[in-house]
Amino acid sequence: MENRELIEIYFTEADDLLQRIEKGLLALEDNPDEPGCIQEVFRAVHTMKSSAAMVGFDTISEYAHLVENLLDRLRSGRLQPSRPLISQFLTGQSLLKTMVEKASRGEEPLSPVELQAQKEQLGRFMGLEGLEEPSPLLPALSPSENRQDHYYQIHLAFKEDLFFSGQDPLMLIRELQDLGEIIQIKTDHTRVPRLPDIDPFVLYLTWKILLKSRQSLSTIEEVFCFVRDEHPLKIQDVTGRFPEGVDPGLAEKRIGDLLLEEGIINPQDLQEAILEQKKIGQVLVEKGKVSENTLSRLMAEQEKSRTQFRKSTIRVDTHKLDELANFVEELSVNLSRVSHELEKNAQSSYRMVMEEMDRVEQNLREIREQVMRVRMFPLEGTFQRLQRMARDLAAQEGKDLNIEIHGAETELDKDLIEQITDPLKHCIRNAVDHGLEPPEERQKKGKSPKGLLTLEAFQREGKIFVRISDDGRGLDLDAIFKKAVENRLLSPEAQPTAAELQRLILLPGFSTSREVSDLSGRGVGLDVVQDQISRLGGLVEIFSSPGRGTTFSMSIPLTLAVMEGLRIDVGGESYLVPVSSVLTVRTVEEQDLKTIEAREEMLRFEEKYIPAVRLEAILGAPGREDNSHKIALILDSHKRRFALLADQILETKQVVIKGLEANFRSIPGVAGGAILGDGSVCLILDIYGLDRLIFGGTLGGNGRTNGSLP
Amino acid sequence: MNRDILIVDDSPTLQASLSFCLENAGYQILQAENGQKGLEVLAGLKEQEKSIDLIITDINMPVMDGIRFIREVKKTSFRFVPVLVLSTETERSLKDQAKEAGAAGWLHKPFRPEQLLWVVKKFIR
Repeated sequence: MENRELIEIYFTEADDLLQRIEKGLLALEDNPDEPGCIQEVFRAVHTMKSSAAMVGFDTISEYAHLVENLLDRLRSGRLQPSRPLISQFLTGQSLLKTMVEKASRGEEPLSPVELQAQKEQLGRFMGLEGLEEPSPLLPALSPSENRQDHYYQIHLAFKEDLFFSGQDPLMLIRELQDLGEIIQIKTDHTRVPRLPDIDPFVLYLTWKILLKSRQSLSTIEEVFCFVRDEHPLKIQDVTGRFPEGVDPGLAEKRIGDLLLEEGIINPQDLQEAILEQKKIGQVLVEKGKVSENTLSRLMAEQEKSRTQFRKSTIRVDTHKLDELANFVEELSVNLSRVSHELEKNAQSSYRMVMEEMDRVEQNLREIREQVMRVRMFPLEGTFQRLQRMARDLAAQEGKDLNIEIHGAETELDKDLIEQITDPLKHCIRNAVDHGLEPPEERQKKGKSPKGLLTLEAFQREGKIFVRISDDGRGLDLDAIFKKAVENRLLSPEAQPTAAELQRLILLPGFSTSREVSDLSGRGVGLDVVQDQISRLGGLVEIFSSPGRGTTFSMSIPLTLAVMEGLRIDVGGESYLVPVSSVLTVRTVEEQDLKTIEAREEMLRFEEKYIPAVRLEAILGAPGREDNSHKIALILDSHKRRFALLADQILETKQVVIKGLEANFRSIPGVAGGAILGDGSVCLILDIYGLDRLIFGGTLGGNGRTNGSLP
Repeated sequence: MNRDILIVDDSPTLQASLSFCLENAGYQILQAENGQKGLEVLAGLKEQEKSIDLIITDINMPVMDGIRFIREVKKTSFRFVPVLVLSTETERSLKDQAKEAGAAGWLHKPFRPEQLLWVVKKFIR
């Protein structure tokens, strides 16, 4: 195995651990009395520490170690799981995550100065220990529990081969550090030979340590229980020689520590000093050695390659692969039977071969499904990130909320998960920012002061539904109507239905919020959600009830790679149209079509006229230029409805989409190609792209832009 | 001659680095992700009338931790197989528990491959 492979295993594990830590902390916040949550977080942080150390990310390991120490106090009941403490842990988790991400890009996870500052931060909570620790009752009655400070003189004269007994002197010294304070440590390096003679696996050093600790001599001795027998060491209690109050260690401290302790600077000063440190690239630019452009181009390329590298690996549940292997096995059995039959007398075995071929096909279908399933991942991680985001946003806004999660185990294609994350974030922002009222307002309305945000996912009819609901104020239909009139989307006399008004908020530039808020008022409306979900062949629906809340419901196909298509014939060429975009199909007569301004053709559909489109004219494909098309597919691009004129429907077909970009440039309006049973290639239409191609970037409203609502 | 080592650890990174290092040195590796799974592996070996030369176990694992695992191993026919404990400095208080349970050695994480191989050689002769 290559080092790179190990590092990849580490990053996958680290992602997993970070998620477990976060999940545990959020659960702990809800159930502070649940010891299981702490234990789970503790275990994950612990594993984080040792696996990071194993691959050489010492800073990550060191920081995880500090977090672990603090968690240990929580676990043993010496600290209470207060909100600020849990927030501190969540901050710690974020920092670990940043560090892992930096490490994955080959950057230094944290500079020593930053690490020091973070240590101080955690140390602050460690300091609370004295306040929160219950003072022991009647200490006089427990003389065995010696709580006095002791001073131990420890002489570590390990033999040269200590390394090969599995011990690391540094680790042993760190263990001592955990038991108390190392006041003095003297290293004897007289045994170190000249550089060319050094054997890296031989221990040449010995140490004399002065340890201040409340632990008993036997506890100190335990640290060395696996080495004591073979290696000379001496531990003496020398408390008498060190009068209380003298701190001989002061001289050893770092200047940064001293300045902080003396209150001359605060951690923020330190942080600012850190921020002023310049990156190497920037320094080079300032010195005129490199141009700004060169630097940013190189950095962008580097970033791209790094993200690509991380995106290309996935972690797969082994039983999915096992099933896959089983199907392949069966398939090879089927095929060998077929060839066996063929070798025999062909006459008698014809039926048998056909039956076997049926089974082969069945198996292939299952293998295809299984391969798709390998790409599927539960939404759990995404939901967790969203939960965290909602929590942080609400805190920022002074809103209080409970978050409920249902169906986090629902699985979705890995690519799709990545692509729906942003739209989901947007809905969450919208819910927290606009939907949920501040606690006082809620109380006035007779609601619980705590808002409820629900994240829900489920699978139905080959689609994944993801819903984000809040129990806030609901959509203000009157405000939407006014805004729509203002933007000339509706005429002042229009009588739109509630559902029609609700859909309007998905249009570009539509925001009813009067003031720009910190959260969702970034000049980007919910049209981004609509855009992205449509691109994925999905659908956004809004359910809202005034005063009771709003639900954003997104349905998306299970995978991007397979599509249910309607194969149509247009002038002798066949095309596939995604079934999800087709509202209905109807026959057309010449009198149904009306030409406006001598070029735009319209078709009457449900009491109004919608644009009628000829594919041959748009794609420049061969076809008839006359009006002899017999059917029209009514399509919904989510921006508008339009009719696609065609000759006939050939079949419905499930196809694997093949991208065109590898061999051709991407063609607007075409999502890709599919290979048909006879080996010919059929283009798959991208309705969303087609809409763009035909109507440009103009605003639509389901073809009702002219205020022609019924 | 083939030597078999059972590695019990819940961290894929640790499993991978241990296996890599030991397999390169010619050892056969069996893996388990916690104490419970480790016992199952041993039970499986017994059924096939096979044995094992060394067990390397982590301490902090879900389902069944390393200390309990060692205690359970000592109740089986594998009780004479040396157990090497892999752990970190924070588990200090567990060190003597591990020794009492019957651990033969203690290896600090992180370790270097040379160190691991040497310790393993100490137990497998």
